[in-house]
Amino acid sequence: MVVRKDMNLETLGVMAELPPDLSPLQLGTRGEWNGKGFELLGRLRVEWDEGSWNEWYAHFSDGSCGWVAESQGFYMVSFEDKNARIPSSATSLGAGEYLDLGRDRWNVVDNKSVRCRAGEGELPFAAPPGSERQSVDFTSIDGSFASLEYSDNETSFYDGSYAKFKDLHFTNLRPVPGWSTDAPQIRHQTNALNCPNCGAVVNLRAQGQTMSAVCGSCGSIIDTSNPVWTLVQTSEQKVADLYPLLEIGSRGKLQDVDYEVIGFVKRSDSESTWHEYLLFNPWHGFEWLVCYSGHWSFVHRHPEISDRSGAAVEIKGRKYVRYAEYTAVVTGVLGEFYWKVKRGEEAMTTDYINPPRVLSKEYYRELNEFTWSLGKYVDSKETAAAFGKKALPPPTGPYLNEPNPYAERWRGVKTVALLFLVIFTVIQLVSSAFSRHHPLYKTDLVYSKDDPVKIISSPKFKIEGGPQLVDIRGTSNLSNSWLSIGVELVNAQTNEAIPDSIELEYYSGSDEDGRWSEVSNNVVVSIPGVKTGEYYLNIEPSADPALRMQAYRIEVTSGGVFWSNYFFGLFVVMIYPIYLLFRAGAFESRRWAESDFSMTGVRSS
Amino acid sequence: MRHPIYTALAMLSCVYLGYANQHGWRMISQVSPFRWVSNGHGAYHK
Repeated sequence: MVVRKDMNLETLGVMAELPPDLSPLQLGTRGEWNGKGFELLGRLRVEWDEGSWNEWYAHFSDGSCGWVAESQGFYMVSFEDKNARIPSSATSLGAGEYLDLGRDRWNVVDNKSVRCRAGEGELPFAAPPGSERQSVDFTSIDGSFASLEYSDNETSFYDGSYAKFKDLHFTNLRPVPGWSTDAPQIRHQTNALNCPNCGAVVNLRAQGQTMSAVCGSCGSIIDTSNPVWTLVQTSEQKVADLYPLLEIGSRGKLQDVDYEVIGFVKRSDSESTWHEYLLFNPWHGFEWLVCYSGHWSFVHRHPEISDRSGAAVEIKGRKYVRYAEYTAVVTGVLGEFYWKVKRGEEAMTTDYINPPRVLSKEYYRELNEFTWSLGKYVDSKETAAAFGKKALPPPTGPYLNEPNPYAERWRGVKTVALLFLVIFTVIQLVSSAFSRHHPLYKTDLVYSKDDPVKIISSPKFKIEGGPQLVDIRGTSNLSNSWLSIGVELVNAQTNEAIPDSIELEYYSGSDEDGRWSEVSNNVVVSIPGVKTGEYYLNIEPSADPALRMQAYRIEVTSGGVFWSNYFFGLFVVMIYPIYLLFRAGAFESRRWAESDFSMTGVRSS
Repeated sequence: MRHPIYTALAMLSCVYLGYANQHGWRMISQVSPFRWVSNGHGAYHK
C-alpha cells in the first residue's frame, strides 16, 4: 500500500489481503461526476459489526481528491470539508437526530464503530488493518450525503451526494465472474465454503457484498463477512418448510436489469405474513421483490431519504399518505443477505402509500438505524414472465399499493370527458341562442259543450328554413276542471299529419296537510323535425262533462332546441366516467378499510 | 389515444347534438315507425 502525502508517496508495505468480492470497480477504473473525470487510485475495505463496504480513493481532473463509497450497490461521492465546524456533541448523536451546521441540517442515519479490514493502492492516510474509528452517516432533506469520522486523534467531515451506477459513467471496470461474459473466473469456483454447524457446502452468490448466508441443509445462519465463517444462529426450523415462489439462484429481468434471487425472507406482523425476495446485480446492487397475497412490489432502498414522520410525507414532489404502522418480525430465511439477518429480528415499520408506490420506513432498534425504501407495484404476470414462470398465484383482495384499476381508467378518459362536457354544453348553448322561436299562428277559442263544431282548422301558415322544431302551446284559466285539446299539424301539400294532444287541468282544494293544487294551465307539445312547407292545424277540444264553457288559447311557433337532447347525450357519454369514479371510490374504500388510518393518514378512532 | 371508442362516442355525440339542434330533432323519439295521414276528421295509421 502507498500513502499519499500531497504528491509524495510513501510506501507502507503490504496490507492484509482484501477479501474477494463481486465489486465491478478496480484500481484504475475511471469515471465522471458533475463534469469532472476521476480515477480510482486506492481502496479501503471498511467493516462494522453488521457488514462491510468499499471506500475508493479517487483523484479528480480538477486536482481534488475525494472518495467514492460503494456499499450494497449504492455509491456515495464525497469530499473532505476541512472548514466544517463540527460540535463535539455530534459524536453522540443517534439515528433520527439532527445536526445543524448553519445552512445545512443533517439527519443522522446511523452512528457506528467501524474498522479498517484491508486496503490497496494509494491512500491519503495510513489505515492499518483493525484500526478503529467512529462513523456517523447523515442525509439532508435534499438527499445529500455526509459522514463524520472521528477517533481519539482527529475528526473529519465529508459531504457529497448519492449517485447511481449509471450516473458515474465508469470505464475500465472489472469483469464480474458469473455475470460478465469476459470474466476469466468460473462462477462458484472459490466462493463455496462449509457450514460451521453441519458441514454442508454453502455457495455465496454475492460474495463480498453479503454478510450472512443460510445453510440450505440445516438452516443455520452463518456470518460470511470474514474468511472464517461463524454461526450467527442455529435453527430448529426446517428450510424445507419455506416455499419461495422464486427459487434462490433464479434470474430474471426487471426494469431492463438482470437480477438474481439470492435471499428469501418470510416476515410476519400480528395479523399477516408476507415474503420478501432479495435480488442482486453486481452493477446495480440489491433490490427487493415483496409478495403479499399474490401482490408483488419491486422495492428499492433509498438511503438518501432523511427521517421524517407524520400523516403524510412528500418525496420528490409526490405525497405519500400514512397507511400502516406495525412491527415486522423475520420468521424464516433462505439464501444470503447484506446484513447479518436473524430470525426474530424486528423492524418498526411505517408504510406510506401513493399507489402504485409504497414508501416504507423501517427502524431497527438493535442497530439504531433507519432505512427508507420505495416500492412500485408489479403485476404478478410481469413477475412470472421476468423469471420464466408459467404463472404465479393470482392476487387476492385489495392491497395497499395496488393500482386502482378504475382510477387508472378514469385518468384515461378524464380529459376527453371534461372536454366533452365543455364542448357539448357550448354546442347546446350556442344552438339555443341562435335558434329563436318564430310565431306561426295564434288564436283564442272558446269551448262550449253545446257547440256542434268538433274540429277547428286554422288558416294555412308556412314553415321555412329546413326541418325544425314546432311548439304548440295551449293555455287556459281552468278551475277544478280539465280540457283536452287534440291537435294535428297537417302538411297542406301531402296531407301528412302529426297528431298530439294538449292536456290542460286545474284542481285545488285543502285537506289535513293544508291547501293543495294540481295546475297544468299552460302546456306545450313539441313536434320534432317538421319539414319546410305549408301547414294548417286541426284543433279538436273535449272537456270535463261538467264544464259548459271555457276560453283557451292556441299558439304555434317554430324554432328552438330540445334540451332533452343535451341531457340525454350527457347521460350517454358521462355514464361511463361516472361509473368509473364510483367504482374507484369503492375500491379506495375497500383499500382503506384494511388500514388503521383514514385516507388522510390520520389514525382512525 | 388511450380510449378510442369512448373518444369516438364523445365526438359523435357532439356532432349529433349540433346536427339534431339544427334540424329540430329529438334524440330519444326521433325515429318512429309510424307515419300519419289526415282524413280531415282525425288521423289514422298509414
